[in-house]
Amino acid sequence: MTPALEIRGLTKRFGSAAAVDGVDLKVAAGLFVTLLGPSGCGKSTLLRAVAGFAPPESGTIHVAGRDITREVPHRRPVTIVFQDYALFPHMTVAGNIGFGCEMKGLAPAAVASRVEEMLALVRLPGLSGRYPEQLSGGQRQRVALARALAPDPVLLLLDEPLAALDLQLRREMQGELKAIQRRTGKTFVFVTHDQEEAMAMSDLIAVMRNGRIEQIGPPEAVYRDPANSFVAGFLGAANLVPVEVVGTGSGMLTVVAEGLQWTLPAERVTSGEKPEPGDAAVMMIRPESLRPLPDDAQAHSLAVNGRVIDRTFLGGRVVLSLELPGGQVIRAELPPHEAEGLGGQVRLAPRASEVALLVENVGSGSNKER
Amino acid sequence: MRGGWALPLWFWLFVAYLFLPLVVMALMGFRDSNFVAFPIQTWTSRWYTGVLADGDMLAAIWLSARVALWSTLLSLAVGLPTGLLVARTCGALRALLIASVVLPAFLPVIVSSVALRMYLGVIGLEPGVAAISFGHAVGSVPFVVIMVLTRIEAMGPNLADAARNLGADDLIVFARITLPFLAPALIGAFLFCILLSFEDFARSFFLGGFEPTFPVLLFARLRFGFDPGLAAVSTLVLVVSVAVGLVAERYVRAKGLRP
Repeated sequence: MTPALEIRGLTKRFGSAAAVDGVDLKVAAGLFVTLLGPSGCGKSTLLRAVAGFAPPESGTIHVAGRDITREVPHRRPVTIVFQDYALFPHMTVAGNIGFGCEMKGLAPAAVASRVEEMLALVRLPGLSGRYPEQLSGGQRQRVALARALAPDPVLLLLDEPLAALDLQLRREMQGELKAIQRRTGKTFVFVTHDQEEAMAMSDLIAVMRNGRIEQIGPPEAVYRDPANSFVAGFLGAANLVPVEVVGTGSGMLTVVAEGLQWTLPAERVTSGEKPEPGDAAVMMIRPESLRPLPDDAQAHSLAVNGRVIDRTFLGGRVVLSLELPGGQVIRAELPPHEAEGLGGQVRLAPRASEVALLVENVGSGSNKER
Repeated sequence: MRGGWALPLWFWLFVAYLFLPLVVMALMGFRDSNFVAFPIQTWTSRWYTGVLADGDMLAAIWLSARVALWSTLLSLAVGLPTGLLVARTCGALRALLIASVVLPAFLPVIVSSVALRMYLGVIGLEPGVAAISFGHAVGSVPFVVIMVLTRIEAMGPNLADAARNLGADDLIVFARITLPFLAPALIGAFLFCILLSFEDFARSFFLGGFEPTFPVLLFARLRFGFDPGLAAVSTLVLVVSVAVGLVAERYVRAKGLRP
């Protein structure tokens, strides 16, 4: 089947800086794909390039098999929901939603029935005569969505459409956006810098940094098997401990850092490169994977011995800051009943499937910006 | 609100200073005498009704109205595209464009008038309606450009992009999005240009032919002394101008765009 969107080698420069730097991306029809990354990573520029507002220097963009790289914006089979919604202030809700159909040359009666259909889809019946300034933020959001869906595009692009909403409304709209995507079967390409939002809504997440896609995959796969420490730190919280690989063999790896030694299954190397003894690497341990070891436990290959230097109660979980023997500080998140009585020297261990070893140039990618 | 009486008193004294002359003028139009003086012993409405029978005066007002309309249309025709052009430039070029467009507004009107009179002579345009209209447009275009520019900046780039994204070409974007968005500024600019042109004396005086515009005729009659008739016609013009000005002011400050 032809992919709904296929981008090959796309590069877009502003001056000498590449905002999008050789991006390849293939999206099958009917998927909800999220471009996730910090501000300035090129995700919005990539979206604007697909819509035709940021002509690329090189590369191609195909939508449903058609090359639209050089097509003018108003003839592309894609529509955008803008971050500020960009509703036409002098047109009613019906005028806004019907605009795209009108441009396609639909008869007034057909436009009107499509508008009603869209209003029902976004659950705003009866508001067709209102003006944008008379609507709440959430309602404007829905109108913007309805307007973009009305002309029946192949691809719907959403540029951080929930960023302006407050937290509760945002959660609500996340569920609704996803439901509408399922119901319409449209391909959504969604841009956000909010990793929780990305995980909650997407079939696929493409994590972007510096104009490149660092990793793409289903949320759970990217979360569990990050390709590098940037992805590990951006998607969820991660403890990233620099280590050195000292032993390989029989499907296991041994890594050391000052004051600690860990042994883990070789398949937990998720960065793709095969480590050799002597390689520098980063050990990723998810805070929520750490659990206390029983006092009488045997030596554990992933045991973390540390001293509790801070304890924060967050209701459903307790966050501990642990200082490891080598001075590294890591974070552990435990259910309150398991954190009970923990203090001073503690002994915790993650599940082997919840750690990852990332072989890479340590230091370059270990920032935890989110 | 707390506060002393000194500031309010100062304010109202100044308001009185501003408006008392106008009140005196309006009242003087009712004086049953050929001379302007106080007190008013007998009252009459003959000066006000007399304006309607004053053929020269009506002709002058009609000429001023025509000049106002033509110069305003010309100002809009020049100012709207200029504003749109300035809006899409930035940096030094933008500063240069704005400076060159706004400069005429700061030129002494009398200097501008003399220069225009000479220039029109050079290009062979006779003094008259066309000449005055061109002259007035020179003075009005800066205001149109600034009003258009201010409004278009408030629009942001996404509205036009959204329309384009939904299938509108450049012409449709202009007609369906940009122009309606600019409408309040254009209506406001239209009314202000009308007022600017109607009240202008210097350019009309220098660029006019034998037919006087309203301010020029008023000036000519003043040289033969005041009579209550001048007070009456001035008051009538004042009332109309204030009404137009208030409407214009409302449009310029309009936030809402609904028709």
